[in-house]
This record gives sequence, structure tokens and C-alpha cells, in this order.
Amino acid sequence: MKKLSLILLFPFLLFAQSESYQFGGYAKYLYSNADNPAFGRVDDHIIHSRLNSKFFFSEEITATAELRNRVFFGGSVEKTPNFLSTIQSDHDFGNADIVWWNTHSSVAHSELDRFYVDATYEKFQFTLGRQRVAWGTALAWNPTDLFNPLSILDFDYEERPGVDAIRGQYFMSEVSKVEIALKPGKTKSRSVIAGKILLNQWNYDFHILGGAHGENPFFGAEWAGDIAGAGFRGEAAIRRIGDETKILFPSLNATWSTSAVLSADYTFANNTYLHTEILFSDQGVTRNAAAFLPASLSLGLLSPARWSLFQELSFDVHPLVRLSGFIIYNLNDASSALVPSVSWSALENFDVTLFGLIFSGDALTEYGGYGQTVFIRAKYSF
Amino acid sequence: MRRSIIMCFLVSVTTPAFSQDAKEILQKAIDLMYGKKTYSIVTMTITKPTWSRTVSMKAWSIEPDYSIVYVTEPARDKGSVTLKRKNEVWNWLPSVQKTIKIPPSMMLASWMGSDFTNDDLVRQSSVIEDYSHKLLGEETIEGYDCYKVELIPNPDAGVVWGKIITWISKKGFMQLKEEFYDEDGILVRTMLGSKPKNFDGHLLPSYSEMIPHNKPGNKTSFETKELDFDVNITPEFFSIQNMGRVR
Repeated sequence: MKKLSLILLFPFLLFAQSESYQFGGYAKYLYSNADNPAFGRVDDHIIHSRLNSKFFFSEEITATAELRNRVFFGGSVEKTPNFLSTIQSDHDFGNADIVWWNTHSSVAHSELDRFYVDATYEKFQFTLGRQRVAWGTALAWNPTDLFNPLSILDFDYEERPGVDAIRGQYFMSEVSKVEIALKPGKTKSRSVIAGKILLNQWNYDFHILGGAHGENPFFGAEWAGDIAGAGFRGEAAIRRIGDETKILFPSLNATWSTSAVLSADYTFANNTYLHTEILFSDQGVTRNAAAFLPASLSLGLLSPARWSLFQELSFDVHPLVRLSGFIIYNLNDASSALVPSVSWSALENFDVTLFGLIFSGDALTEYGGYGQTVFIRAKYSF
Repeated sequence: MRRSIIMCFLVSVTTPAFSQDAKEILQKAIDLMYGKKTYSIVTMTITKPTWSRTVSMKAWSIEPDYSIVYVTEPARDKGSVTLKRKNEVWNWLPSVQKTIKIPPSMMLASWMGSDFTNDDLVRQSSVIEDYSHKLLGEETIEGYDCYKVELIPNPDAGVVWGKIITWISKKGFMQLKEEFYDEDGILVRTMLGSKPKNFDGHLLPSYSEMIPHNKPGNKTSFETKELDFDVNITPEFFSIQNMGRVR
């Protein structure tokens, strides 16, 4: 920790007085109490800090480094075999992480999850390094996000993981661009190359995408706009199913896998927010979703289900206190994950949030068998 | 949700002064900012009896169609950027390096109980078209001789106020005071502009506050720390490319 902090702090000290450096981040503490069928009742603690730094070498060239530091202790650390492996990222060319300690009861881990250089030349922009290539217009599920897919249930990772990539963008106008991104992999099947065109017409953004994941082609499209003030977005993606996946899961006999999402949201004048999304995967299953999970991950699906529904509602009970809740519902097996929360802006830069994570469903359903968890999070931003 | 206040903010900060002929005075006040290429640093503070919250931002703007707003405070939201081009709005979220297109309904929502309403957003064009204007006289506000102008909504105008009275300085056409009455003629809130400063040759209030009268101890204030005119920007500056680059 000391070493890395010093590395990050040193330039800060040099540049602190100038406009050529930005520094920020947060410290947070997450407590959880889970009633988990596998472990019984478990208390867990995560002390988490994040240091974000950005250097401006010139108007055209910037470098970004963001460090995520976490200390875990509690029941899950003690009861999960090789707990460390469950929290480490999996990057092809080195993780850029440090394990400060790894004992039976506690693990401390730091990783650079952003580390990239950004260069602009007129209408061109190039980004090299560990970054987010965040594609997709929907807010809960992004089937067109080839590079950074992540479960929305991982709500404590606000920044989401980065990916080691080379990315070039050319801005054709103020609201349109072409973009190419390459994620090299150790093996060809782990490499991704993809391109995208963004166009703006009739007050809508339209994106057309294409590329390849290993040797398997991928095509997609997405849009974002509004109908009568309500956000209206959607995405569709089709990708060829790889031979590796077919060998591992011989029951898959399709050649292509298609996913699509439709999203709408509306914010009322009193800040009440309604948001609905529906996700379809033609390779998703209508029953025994839990058994299909490994195959769905290999297919790159966001859910093993054929049809999933996301419904969110949030509103202010006080200007500083917001109640929210969302549910993800598997329309085929009627299992669900419910996430109620209440967040309180206790001080200018200090927030306290109480979450629940309530799974329900029968055996072998998508969300059955995960139990319930309560979280309390305190966060100080600087 | 914060985006909305940012939009609100831009409009409000630049709310101008008012009429030799009452309507003409009002138009002059509005024209103080119209079409100007500006860069500003502003802070909004929401004050309640037991707490307060502050948001600070830098803004590049060509009124009324184009703006880029970069949030500098609070720390939680630092670096988030809003781009407005005519009717379209995008948000840049630096933590996830993602651009999101914002639907109109989200722009209109308020932020942490600010004393501004959605109506403030659309008010500028509306004060000319939706009201009839009458010069009531002259008074001194903040040491400035002011025209006192009454605005009465036209019969079928869909506005929320029963009456607005505004004080506009003879020198500089600054809007230094504004009273908002409901349909029963009760004073609901007062906007006060003060601490006029010379910003690049333009005299404008550097501080303004909105005080609701039915909620003692509440107010929302704006402080303009910097306001540069004739900044070297064109409508092309307001792009998704620059949204991720401004600081």
C-alpha cells in the first residue's frame, strides 16, 4: 500500500499547485450480513479506498491512473477456499495488483484498474492502456458491451472493471464518430476487435457495431432517444458461437447467439424515477437456468434466462434521503433478485446507504439458492 | 438528477435585467446574455434550516442553445460533464468513461430541494411572450436606480405565477429583484441580485438568491466567481469529443 500510494502521491506533490494534475477518490466501508445457504449466516467487512489521478502533460496528452485498495475480513474470507482468487481481476497481460496479505481471516489487495494514456489530435483521439470501452445505451444490461460486461448485482463496483485495450476514435461531427477498439489476448480466442459508428438523427443517437471475438464475428446496433420526455433505448447483438463453447457444451446446437434489450425510463418533476428494461436471449433457457449458467457465461450472455425483466423505482423521501428499489425477474422460472436501498447524504461529502439483496426462487432457478444479504455502506468522497 | 439543476442554474445565473417601454426593458435584460460566448465559474448553495449543500461548476456557453457544464464540487460528482445542444443533452460519467443520452424528463427534475422550479427553466422565452408588461415606476435597489415592472400572465398562458414584479437597473439593465406571486396575489418567493461586478465590461450581479416565503430558513443562492465574455468558442466546441476533455 505504502509503495503504491507513494508512487501516486509523488506526482501529486509535484503538481499539486498547478492545473496539470487532478487527484480525488473516496474511502468507504461496507458491512454485510448474509444468510447464505452454503455458509449459513456470515458477517463480512470491506474497507475500500480509491485513489484517482490524472496528469495533463499538454492540452492533447493526458495520463490516468486509478488505484483500488480493499481489505476484506469476516466469514466469507474464512469459509471460501482460495478467497483471493474470487476478488482478483483476470487480465491477459498482468494484473498490476499487489496482495498485501492473504491470511485465513483477512485479505488486503490493491489493483490499478485504470491505467491509460489518452492523446488527441484534432478530430482523432487515441487511448492506450487499461480503460473502459463502455458500449451500449441501456442502463441495466448491455448486450453490445463486448469489452466490459458485468453483472448489475455487483453494485459495490461503481467504476466497473477496465480492459487492456487500444482504442481510436474519429469525430466526424459534434455528435457523430467512428471508433475502433482492440483488446489483444494471450490466445486468439481471448482477443476482441470491434468497431462502431455513432450517428445522430431526429434527436436520436444510433450506433452500428461489428467485430470479432476470437474468430467469431459479432454484429450489433443500439439507439438512445426519447418518447414524450421518457428515455427510450435499445440494443441488439448477434454473435457466432465459438467452437470452444460448443465442445464444452455439446447441447448447444445453434450457430449464432442473439440478445436484445429494450429500455425506458421517466423522471417525474418530484424526482420520482421509473425505469424498466427487458432482456431477451435466444440461447437462454426457460428452465433449469442454474444448470445452464456455465454455458451462458461461455456464450457471453448477461443472463442464462430466455426473458428477464428489470424494474426500478426510486424517489426522495427528503431532499437528502432517497429510497430506491429494483428487481430482476426471470420471466421463465419466476425467480428474482430484489435490491431495495435507502441512501442518505449525511454530510456534504459523506453518504450512508443501506442495501438489501434478496434472492428468491426454487432449486435450479436462476436466482434460487443465494439467500439474503443486508449491506450498510459509509462513503467519504474527496 | 443533478443535470437538471445544472441546466436550471445556467439559465438562472444569466437571468437578466428589464423597460423604457416595459417590454423593451425586459427584452434588454434578457439580451444581456443572449448569443454571448461565455465561460463562467459558479457555485450554487442550497440552504435549509438544518443543513446545506453546495455544487460548483465551470460552464462554457452560447446562450441559449449550447452549453458544457463541468462539475467541480461536490467531490462525489467531480468531473461529470453535461453537454447541451439545442434540445439534446448528454452526460459524461468519468468514473465509467461512458456517455449517456439524457431524456428531457430527467433534465427537468430538481436537485436536493433547490428553491427553483421547472418553470424557471423555460421562463426566459416565456416572460416576453406569456405576460403583459407594465411600468409601475422607479425605485432604488442595492444603490441602483431601477425600473419597477409588473408582469401579468396572459389569460391562456400556461404559467405558474399569478404576477411577477421585477426591478431592473437603469444602468446595465440588471435584474436586481424579482417577486413571484401566486394566483391569490400572495408573495411566494423573492429573487435578489446583488454585488454587481464588472465582468469583462458587462455589469452583472455576482450574487443572487431565491428566497421562498413559506419556508423560513430556506434559500438557494448563486455566486458567479468568474464570467468571461467573448470566449473563443463556436457551436462546434459543444461536442461529445470535448465533453470528455474539458476540465
